[in-house]
Amino acid sequence: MKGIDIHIGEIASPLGRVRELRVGIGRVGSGTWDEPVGPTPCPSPTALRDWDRRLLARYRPFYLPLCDLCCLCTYGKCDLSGGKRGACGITLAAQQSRVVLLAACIGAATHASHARELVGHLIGRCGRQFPLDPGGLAVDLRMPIVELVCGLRPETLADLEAVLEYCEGEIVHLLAATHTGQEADPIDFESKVLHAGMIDHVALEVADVAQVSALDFPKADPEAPLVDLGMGAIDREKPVVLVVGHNVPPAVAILDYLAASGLEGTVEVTGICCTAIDMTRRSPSAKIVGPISWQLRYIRSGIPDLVVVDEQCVRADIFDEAASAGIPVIATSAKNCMGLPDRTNEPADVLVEALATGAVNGMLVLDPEKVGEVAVRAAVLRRPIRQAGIDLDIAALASACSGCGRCVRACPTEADLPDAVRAAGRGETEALGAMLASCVGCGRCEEVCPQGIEVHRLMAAACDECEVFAVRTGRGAIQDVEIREVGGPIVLGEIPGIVAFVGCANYPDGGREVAEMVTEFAKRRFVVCTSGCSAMAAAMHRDEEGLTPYERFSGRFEAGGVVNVGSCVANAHIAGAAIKIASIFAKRRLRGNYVEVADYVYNRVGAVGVAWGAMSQKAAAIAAGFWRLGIPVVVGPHGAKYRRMLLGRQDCDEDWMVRDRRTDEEVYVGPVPEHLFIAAETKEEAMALIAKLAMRPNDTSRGRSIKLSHYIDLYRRCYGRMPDDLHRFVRTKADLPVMQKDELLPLLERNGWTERPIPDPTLLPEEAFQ
Amino acid sequence: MSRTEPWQPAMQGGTVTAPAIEKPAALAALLRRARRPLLVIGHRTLVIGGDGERAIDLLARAAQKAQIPVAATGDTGPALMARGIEPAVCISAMNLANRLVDPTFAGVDGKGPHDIVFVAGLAYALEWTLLSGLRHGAPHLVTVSLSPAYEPHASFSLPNLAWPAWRSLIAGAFGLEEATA
Repeated sequence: MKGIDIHIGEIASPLGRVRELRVGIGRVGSGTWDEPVGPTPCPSPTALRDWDRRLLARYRPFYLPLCDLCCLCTYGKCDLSGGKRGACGITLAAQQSRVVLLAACIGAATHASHARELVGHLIGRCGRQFPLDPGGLAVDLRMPIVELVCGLRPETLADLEAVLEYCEGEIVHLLAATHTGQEADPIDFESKVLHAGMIDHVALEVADVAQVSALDFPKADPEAPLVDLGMGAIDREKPVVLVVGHNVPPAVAILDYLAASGLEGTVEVTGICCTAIDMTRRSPSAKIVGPISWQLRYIRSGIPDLVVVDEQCVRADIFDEAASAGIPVIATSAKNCMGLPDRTNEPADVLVEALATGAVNGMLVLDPEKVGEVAVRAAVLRRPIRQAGIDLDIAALASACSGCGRCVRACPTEADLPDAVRAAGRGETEALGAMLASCVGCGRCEEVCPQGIEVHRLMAAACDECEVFAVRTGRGAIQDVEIREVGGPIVLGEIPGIVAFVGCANYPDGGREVAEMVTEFAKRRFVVCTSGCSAMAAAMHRDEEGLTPYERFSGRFEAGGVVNVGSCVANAHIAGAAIKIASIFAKRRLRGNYVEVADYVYNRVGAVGVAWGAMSQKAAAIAAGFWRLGIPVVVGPHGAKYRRMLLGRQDCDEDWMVRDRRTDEEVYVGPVPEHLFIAAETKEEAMALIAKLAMRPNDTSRGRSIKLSHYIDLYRRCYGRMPDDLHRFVRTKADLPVMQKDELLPLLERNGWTERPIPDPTLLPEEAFQ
Repeated sequence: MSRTEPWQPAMQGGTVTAPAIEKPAALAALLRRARRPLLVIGHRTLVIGGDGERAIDLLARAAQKAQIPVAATGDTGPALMARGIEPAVCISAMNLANRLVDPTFAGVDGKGPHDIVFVAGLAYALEWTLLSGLRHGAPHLVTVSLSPAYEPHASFSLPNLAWPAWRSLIAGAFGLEEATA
């Protein structure tokens, strides 16, 4: 019984005319799904607390306070330094974990809200009973995260509403826990952070499965099309629309309007950030300009005739920047109204005229379909009056630089701007232009310049950006058959790991480093996944044959594949793949059986997340979802500003005991994986960490020897010598890479190494298994 | 610029901020006081420099002269070895800091807990957060930032210094003047 769902298109009654009336009774049911419900369907914030505490006992929080104070209530400000408690009794550690929870709640709420809007829009577009189909015949296990967490198997768009109700309820509870006088124990806060992350992953999966199903995105397709990325891809002769953000309905409406009105190919639809990826999933003719950090440079170029913004990661000053460049803006999200007048209910003709004539600089339009029409028509009319990009006299402007250095002190990447600006002032613009490659596009250099030099603008003007790169658009889910093929080698360790490069573009030294890491690990036959801005960064790098990683490596989820799953919300498919390994390969029950599956993933699936430029609260929530599954995450140096790490102590042997299910004995397995959340200082250090963090207790000797060979090689490249912790990772002599046995054995013996068994590892008591 | 405002001005410190070490003698006094010092050398020491010299050149000589065990973070290990320094440990800075908060940690060389940790050349924000973590989590430690950018969370920090002034201060404190003259 699926409940009752009544839909009345239109009915006239004495009380008036009713349109689009929908009545649903009952909730999403199990259909023909006969799998027994596990112990924790739709878990509350405390239902998985015991699992969290097992993880947090190994990976104890290391707090890095950004502030000594608590300012959240009127008792404050309270100084929490030096062991002092606040007026409410809170400690500094609890306050840090509380702020981490707030960030995770913001992230999870953002994705849940995103999913809610998307599902509502798609139900309006396609109907409540529209079937969910993220992968056609290739995907039988459609929503592994939802099945695992909620114990539900949604079949239609309407079924997703019940899942979102659960998410929303949990986020409210978690947020409430941060109120003064509630939670005060740091570990309980941290447990709730993990809960927020898990809920975030549920919301991600809802959003992406809904849009893949209803908008005809590639469905688990390893051959998803290669699309253009870069400012050079844009035909500047045509009218150009720019869409910025994450929630794709307005961009889809633009593409659909073009198709419906026979204008396809006559207007360039360009995008920045995740909306850009998602609109290329709808139509490969759309162009990805670049990641989040390209907003200023692209708008200032004057190329777009019109800017459409939806939600998330949109610059707060985008309207002002666009106005300065003479570009009108349409805001389309209730979460990002930008102070603009709501003109949703006015006729399209009126809106087009207002934008095309320059009568207004912007408007709020909350109807995506109307945005599609208005944006296209207005851009076409504005093209003839486009203000050509201003031809800057770089040398004259740069020559005002006094060399005070305030720009470099404001720069997140600590770029040596003054020397480059002064060189540009002498007419030597090459160094300044080259800096654009590592610029995060924040514009802080301009904010602090006492001479009023627009440093970022000069940098962009000094760099002729005309390159076009090929990026494979988001393929969505991983096929069941792919999981069957790689599940065994991954769990045995013979594929050395899954590495997922995800997240934003706050890189310490440019996106080039992401591209280099992607290439390195693909060459080493890891399964490499990408998403969001990192998927774009990975494309902006060519090998000696001029190929980007997406052209060079296959898009299959296989050893040596480079798999772009899609936008931020498509990160669900990376977590989903790990869960699918437990289900499809190992036949573990999923339904409401979170702890057993997380224990499986943690002990057997060598997956590592890398968010090299993580910036947002959403990234924090995504990371937390991976942590609860036991998947470690490496961030770049800016990631330390998330205020705490989750670090293991490899030198504390007692921390690394597991229960051997074969013998029921406690067995030492070494620090695998050593950390759950760690900031790396450099790319080289990150690569050595990734190789190490991919080790798992379950690795066979053959698998461990493969993983060790990568670890040793990358460690030596970074540190110039042998790792000093090898004895902790070698269980038997058979674990040693064959070619290095003679070299390594004496090192092990020097550390008092003795052989130890390879267990059937678990952190759980036997009664936890279904 | 003020010599003791955070080098990245928005990165304001806590309720207590580091006294600035303005003179070589003050740093030399800290060195003399240290019973179990540790010098952490990060990757920006490969970048910071002037006149054909890098910060890592000077710090390698300083470590040698003062016989301080070195922790190489980032990818400074090979550069240190090329300068004749065998790091006591090559380790990620965050991983090291997490061990230092444990008062029973036997030190990077296993010879006992450290009492003073000198840090130089991490990315500014990374050093800032790491020193904050040590300030709150490791009250048993004295931390000293030797970077040329003022770090408010250290127990003591060099002020914001241009290369020649930084070079002079380090060389003076470690007694490298004769060798570099």
